[in-house]
Amino acid sequence: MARLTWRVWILIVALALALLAIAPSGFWEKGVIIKSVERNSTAYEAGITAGEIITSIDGQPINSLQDYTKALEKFPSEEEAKLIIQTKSQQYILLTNHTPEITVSGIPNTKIKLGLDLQGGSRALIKPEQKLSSLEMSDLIAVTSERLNVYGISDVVIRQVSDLHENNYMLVEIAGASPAELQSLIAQQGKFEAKIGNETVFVGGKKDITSVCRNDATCAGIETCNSIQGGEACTFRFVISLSEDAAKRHADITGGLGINVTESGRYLDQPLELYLDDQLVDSLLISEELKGRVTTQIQIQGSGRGETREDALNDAEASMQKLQTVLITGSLPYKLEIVKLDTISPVLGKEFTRNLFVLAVLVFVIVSIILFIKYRKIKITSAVILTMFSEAFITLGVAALLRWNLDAPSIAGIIAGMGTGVDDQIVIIDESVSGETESLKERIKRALFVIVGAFLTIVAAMLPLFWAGAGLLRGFAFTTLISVSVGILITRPAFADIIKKIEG
Amino acid sequence: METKQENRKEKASKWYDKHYKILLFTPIIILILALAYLGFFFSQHNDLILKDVSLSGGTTITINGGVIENLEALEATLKQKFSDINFRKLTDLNSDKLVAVIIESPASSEELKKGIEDILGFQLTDKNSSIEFTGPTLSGNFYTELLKIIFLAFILMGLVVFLIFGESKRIKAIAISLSLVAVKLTFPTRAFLGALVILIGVSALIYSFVKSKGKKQQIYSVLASLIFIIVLIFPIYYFIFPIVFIIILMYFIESIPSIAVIFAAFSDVIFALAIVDFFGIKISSAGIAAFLMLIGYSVDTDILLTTRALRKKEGSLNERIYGAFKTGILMTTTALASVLPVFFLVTGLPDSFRQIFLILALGLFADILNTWLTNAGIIKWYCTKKGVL
Repeated sequence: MARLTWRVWILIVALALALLAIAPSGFWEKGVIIKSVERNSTAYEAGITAGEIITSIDGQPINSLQDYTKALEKFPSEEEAKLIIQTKSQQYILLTNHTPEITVSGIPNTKIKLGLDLQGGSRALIKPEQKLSSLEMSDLIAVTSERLNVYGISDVVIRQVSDLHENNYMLVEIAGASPAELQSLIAQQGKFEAKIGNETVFVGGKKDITSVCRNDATCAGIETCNSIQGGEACTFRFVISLSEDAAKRHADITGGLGINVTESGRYLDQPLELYLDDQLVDSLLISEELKGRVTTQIQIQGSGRGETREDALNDAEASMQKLQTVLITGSLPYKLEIVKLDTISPVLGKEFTRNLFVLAVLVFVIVSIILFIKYRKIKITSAVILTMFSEAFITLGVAALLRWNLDAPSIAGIIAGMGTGVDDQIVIIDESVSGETESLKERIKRALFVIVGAFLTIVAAMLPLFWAGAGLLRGFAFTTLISVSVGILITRPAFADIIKKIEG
Repeated sequence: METKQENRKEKASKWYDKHYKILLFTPIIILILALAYLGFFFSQHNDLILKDVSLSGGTTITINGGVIENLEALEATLKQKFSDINFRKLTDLNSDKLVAVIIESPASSEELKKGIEDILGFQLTDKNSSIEFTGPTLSGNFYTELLKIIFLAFILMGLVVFLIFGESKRIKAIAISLSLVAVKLTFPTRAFLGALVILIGVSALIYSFVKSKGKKQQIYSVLASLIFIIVLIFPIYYFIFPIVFIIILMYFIESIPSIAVIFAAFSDVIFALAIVDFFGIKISSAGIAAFLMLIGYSVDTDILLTTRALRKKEGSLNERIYGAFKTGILMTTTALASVLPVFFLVTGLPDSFRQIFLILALGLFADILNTWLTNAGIIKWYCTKKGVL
């Protein structure tokens, strides 16, 4: 057994780390993962959240999507039935006559994330008509993300991207599915309404709501926290100012309402309901003293829950912020233009992914054959193939670690990176087998000089792509650069040592 | 046996000594033809490439292969309905299965979608099709940006090559500062990058001053500093062209081997571009990224050649060039062979992917000529003149 040099050890450690990052947990984890929960549904009210893993339903173990569909075959039913959903952490009991309003999928085998063009989904690039500051942009992103959540789309990433000309865009990416309403969801200005009964009291935006208190302890904040059954609850309050018109409308409508006496206080018998794009967002109790009064200051309250006080506090704070956001920007303050909208079918993506895999295997085979024909040495050929594989594997590990979505150009980048890798190894082999007068060390040194030169030129050529075109081609630059960097830092030095051993 | 081989080698070597200048000019003639063709192409299309809808704005609808029954009817009716439509079939040669039909049009996504739905008689959903739409606002911007990026990539690649093969550290410092100016002009508003450019650029300029001996050498540093200051005050993008001219001139005077490498990379890109244009292939944004990759990838063999020729001590110059050739041709063959299945075996791949590989393949093929005829010839000429044998 030949002794391994430290460079080879680094390669082994890097491979182990990559394996850890890719984490093929799906091979031993059983169940289905919840992708999203529809808001205000039975499942939502029961507290089911996205990301949980369902392990059994009504006592039947759930190992696959088929099991899940089978377990829910009894729905829709005439009468409400009990449904016991066991997740990894909790048990939920639902009383329902239809399938729970959640979407599930199989647990992914690895942490490698495929891009939209390979796993399907939608992507929209949105440009505000006027130039926005980054603060305004994050407001816009908050509103959009809020809206998408209200619609029950959870697997969504929204971020600000920019191009060389410092144009700012909002990039919305939804994995897996393409909601039919997407276009209107993200680019229409949207409608916010506060209603009592069927009458509209005020609508979102500056016309009716002149200001919303935020980040000011005197008029917004968490009020009290109490222990309740099964956990803690915290209430929050904040003040909004209505315009005179809206205040008068409020007075007219509340004047005709009755009073309900509850444990926590005296309230009007109809709540103030907040709607966003015709969906109920929140329902607020109106305190008795506001009945029939023209008041421009309205205190809005709500609560958050959690198992611990800290959880409840966080939840309350998040709810408050959400509500404030809705009130402030109920209708989008900016005119938006969809500059790019892609909805990619998951079906085709599967076919592409399989073909890419076949291609990768073919590339390995072809390179092996050519190298074997040329060098006629199993040892050298397998060393090259092993290095090629390591490079691709470590690159995938880095991508998984950084949660990079691998789209088709990214995979082209990995394969091209492997190509430069093979080139470099050929340089090392040829330097080490040729020539007699110069020492092996000297020749390997010269090979590394060529390799470093080639590496630097690729970096120089690809680096600018990182910042261009609203990041749409970043994946290609990213994987190429990672792949050649892994090559120069980890696999090339190890390969040089291995070749020294084989040749020396 | 041995002597026979030696004899043949010697003959080949003598033949190369006699003819390398002719060989050197063959790719140059092809390059001139390619450039002339591109000029003609530009006069016809008012652009250097045919842009696909991701660069010109429009819609691509990809319908999954299985759902279409009457392909010919769809194509014929669509072509009647939309004037400017591009209809392509994506077939996996391996299984001979229709993977998808790709329909491209400058029309809006609603328009094209409705047109197709009317013909097919069913709705297009994310179960049976993909729709990609790029608005004209984005595409125009995108294209100019990618062109600027290609230009910058070239400048940076050239700098790296000059830093590797150039001789005078003083001139290298000037090259760094001038190339950074190009970076600054390409990314005018990035504050962090600007600060970095100033920091490194100024240090490089000071270094070049310190290393200058006598007034004549100082003039270069003074000129570079002037350009540096002017660009910082007036960051006008078009300044990049005279600056690039100065940089190239400088490399030409200072390091022939460097300019030979850069020239080879330039020819690779032009060859690939001319062929793609000749076959009327519409280039997508991914295709432009492939040209960037080509700039970085194709200089591998040139660096190998130049290093072996200038730095290796054993063997004659011809032997060293021949040795480099044997290594380099294996590198390129392997790369080309790995690319081939994309076109002949596993063809059911995303368009972006195929285009990246097509452009890389064309460029690498051109690289065989440009490296082993032109670049090798220049290096031999250079070494012969310098007496490096």
